[in-house]
Amino acid sequence: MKQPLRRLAAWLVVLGAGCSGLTTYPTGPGGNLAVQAQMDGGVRAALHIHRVDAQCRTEYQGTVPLDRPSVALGLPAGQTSYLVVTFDTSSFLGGSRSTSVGALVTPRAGDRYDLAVRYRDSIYDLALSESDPRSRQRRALPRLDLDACRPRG
Amino acid sequence: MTTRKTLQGPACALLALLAGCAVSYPQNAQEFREQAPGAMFGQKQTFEAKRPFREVAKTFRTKAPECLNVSVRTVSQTSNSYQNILAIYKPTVLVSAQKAELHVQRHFQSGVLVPGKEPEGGLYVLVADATPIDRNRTRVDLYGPTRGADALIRAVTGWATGENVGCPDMTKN
Repeated sequence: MKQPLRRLAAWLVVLGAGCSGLTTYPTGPGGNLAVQAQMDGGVRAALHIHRVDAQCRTEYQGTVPLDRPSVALGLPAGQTSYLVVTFDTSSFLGGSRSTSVGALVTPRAGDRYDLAVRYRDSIYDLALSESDPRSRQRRALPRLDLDACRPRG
Repeated sequence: MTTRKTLQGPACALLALLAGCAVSYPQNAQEFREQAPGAMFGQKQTFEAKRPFREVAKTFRTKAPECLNVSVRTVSQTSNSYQNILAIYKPTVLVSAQKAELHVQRHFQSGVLVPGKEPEGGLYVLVADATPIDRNRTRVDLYGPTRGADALIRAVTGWATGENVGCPDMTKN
């Protein structure tokens, strides 16, 4: 590709990324949330993290594409977060389709969290669990949607 | 939970054709049970779940509100037309000592004109009845369409058998 075309393409990518409104949420080892994803081919999934304040208002924090089997990230302890997973599929006749599912979580300091995300044959599942590294006890957390949030104070 | 899908022309043409047919719809779950097996695109499936009736009923109670309280927006755009359809699904679970019923209804909030009288909550899409056979087995009768609700039927079957308790992608219905 010639230099001016490359520049143009680079600018289009930058512009496109800016227009999508999505921010990359930081990932890396050491986070308190481990996400495992199992997807059908052709399904694009992403995890969107929102901060939830005492009045149950959400503030978008960023997005993690679930394009790898596992990814780790950090959620602020003691702070309620609303995790939204979107599944995007598309086909020639079926067009593009998007389904989302959300879960509230308030991580406790020192605890670790696992989020298993699965999409197989048009059926999806989201399983969240909490474990205490000291006692090595793990418990499944019920999936609470945003309407389960109750304003405090 | 909100889902969104973008359909192409053929599916929209089918919706438009269906909207043109004035029919009388089942007004309650019992009428749906009576009419679905004999309807052109209706069916009744029966299977045995190797789980106690109490567990099947509990799974219906848990999963139906979690997975089926959804709205699906369908946007279709061609060079000379644009459609924006909002479908709202409503699950109902009724449990007694001898029977657990799951009803799924769909109401088109916008974009589709439903000819004829629509029951409160929307048109019936699926009815599932679970009844105990013995302490560890449950009979399940599923009434629904032969096409267009595959994901929903597979999900409800999974809830009954306990083999898959995921949620159906309602954009695929």
